[in-house]
Amino acid sequence: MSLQDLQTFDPTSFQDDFLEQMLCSLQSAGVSWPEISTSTGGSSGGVELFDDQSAYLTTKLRQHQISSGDVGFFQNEMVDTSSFKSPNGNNSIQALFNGFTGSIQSNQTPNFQYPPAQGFRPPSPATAPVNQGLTGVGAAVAGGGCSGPPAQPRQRVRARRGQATDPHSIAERLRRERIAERMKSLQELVPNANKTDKASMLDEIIDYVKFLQLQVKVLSMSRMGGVAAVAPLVTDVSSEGGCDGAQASASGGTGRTTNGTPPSKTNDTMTVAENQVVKLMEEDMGSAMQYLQGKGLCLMPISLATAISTTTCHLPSTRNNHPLLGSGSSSPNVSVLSVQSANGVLLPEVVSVKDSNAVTKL
Amino acid sequence: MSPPQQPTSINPNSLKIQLAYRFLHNLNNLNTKRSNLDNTRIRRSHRVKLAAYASMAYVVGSRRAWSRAILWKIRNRAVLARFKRVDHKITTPLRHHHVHAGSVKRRTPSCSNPKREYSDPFGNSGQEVKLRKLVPGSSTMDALGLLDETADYIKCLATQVEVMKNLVDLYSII
Repeated sequence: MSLQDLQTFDPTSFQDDFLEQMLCSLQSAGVSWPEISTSTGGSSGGVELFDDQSAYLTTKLRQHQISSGDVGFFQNEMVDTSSFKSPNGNNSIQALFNGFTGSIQSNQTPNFQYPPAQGFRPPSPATAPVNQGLTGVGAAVAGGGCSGPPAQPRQRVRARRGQATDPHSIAERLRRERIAERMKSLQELVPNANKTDKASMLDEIIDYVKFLQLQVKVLSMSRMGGVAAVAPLVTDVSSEGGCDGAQASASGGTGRTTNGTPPSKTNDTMTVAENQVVKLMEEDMGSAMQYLQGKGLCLMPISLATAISTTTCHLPSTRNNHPLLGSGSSSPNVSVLSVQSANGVLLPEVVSVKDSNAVTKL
Repeated sequence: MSPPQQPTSINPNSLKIQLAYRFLHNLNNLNTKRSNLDNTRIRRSHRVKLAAYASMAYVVGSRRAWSRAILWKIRNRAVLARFKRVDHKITTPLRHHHVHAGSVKRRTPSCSNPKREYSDPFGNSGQEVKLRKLVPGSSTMDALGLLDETADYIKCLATQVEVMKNLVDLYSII
């Protein structure tokens, strides 16, 4: 993993890469650079642009060279730079290399994976070119006059090839990556997440949130007579009298609202309901049906109702209430059936209407 | 029987169980509390919906901004209603303040370098505003936090809907 590989690499092929890396690192060190295009990879042509940088580098390198003969920048295994071969002469390249690594190392140690103990994780493609491109140093950067100010190298993530690395763009890139991560996780939550476009994905997300909220609303409306009513009834077994204690929900998704009249124990609510049904039926059958369904009732022919009542009569309970008897005085067209079993489970009430036009009062 | 207080992000099943328990508990309270003022003014469906949201927020607790916002809204419903009726202007300055705080936080990193193209995930189509309206308590965060809150909110909402659907199916058998 170490820089041993460097010696085997063909310097020229990675010249461009390394140039980029070098200049990027210098840029991140606080020295302002013009945008580096890949076409400037030419050996000496490109060098002219970077005289300041090379100058800075060489000064740093000389300092390092003077101070310490060997390269000890990386904490773990290191290539002995004296063995570092390069066409342009060892010294400058070594120096360049030392300075390069030193400038990076001194302030960017957390950015490299070389000392594995470091916690920071740099973009992996950045480190590879660093390794590979180091061989191309000397050829590209000849020692020029150096007058660059030794700016403080900042702790930054290494840039990839072709990207500028001033701190703002790095911050932007980090932010973009984080946002992309979040978007990806959102994509997993939302169904139909095959959109690659961020804008359409956001639209999808917004619609999904609206849909979920609507679902909660609808479900809460449909469950009004259901769970909410059964709960007290389960505790109150001996509710007798009348018809309606049982407003079990007719179905799961009617979405109907009613005024939450507490279940009363008398027949009054039933008569009220029936009058209401009569009134509604005169104007529109559909609304009457809706009203009934909202109360947990439904319409069915009398024959069916009687059939049901006979079967339910056989339920093991002595406390069944048969208001069917009570409705005997009503018109034969309408009969109200409600059965209440002893264990507190309530069957849905049934209102049967034989003739929709001829509903008379009970 | 009380459900174990597990972190909901680890095990989705535990979230569902906790939600179910809490929701049923809230519904029971709904029915037994007769002395509530809400009985008269708020329709039952609305109360059930409130119970659903309240249970959802309660299970998540104070970990998330949206749950805190929901709980705060529900607990101060009476006060807020009074404010809304009396003076509409009272609530809006608060909202503006929140929006300004959030927007200032958002703008500082990008204003410094106007030449760069910004990693603005929302573009200019106003989606961010819509999302902030949908997700409660999201007016004070930047775009990143907003996406995070949205993800958590969606997850909890979906679980709550599933719980409610199961309950409805269960009780419609009767």
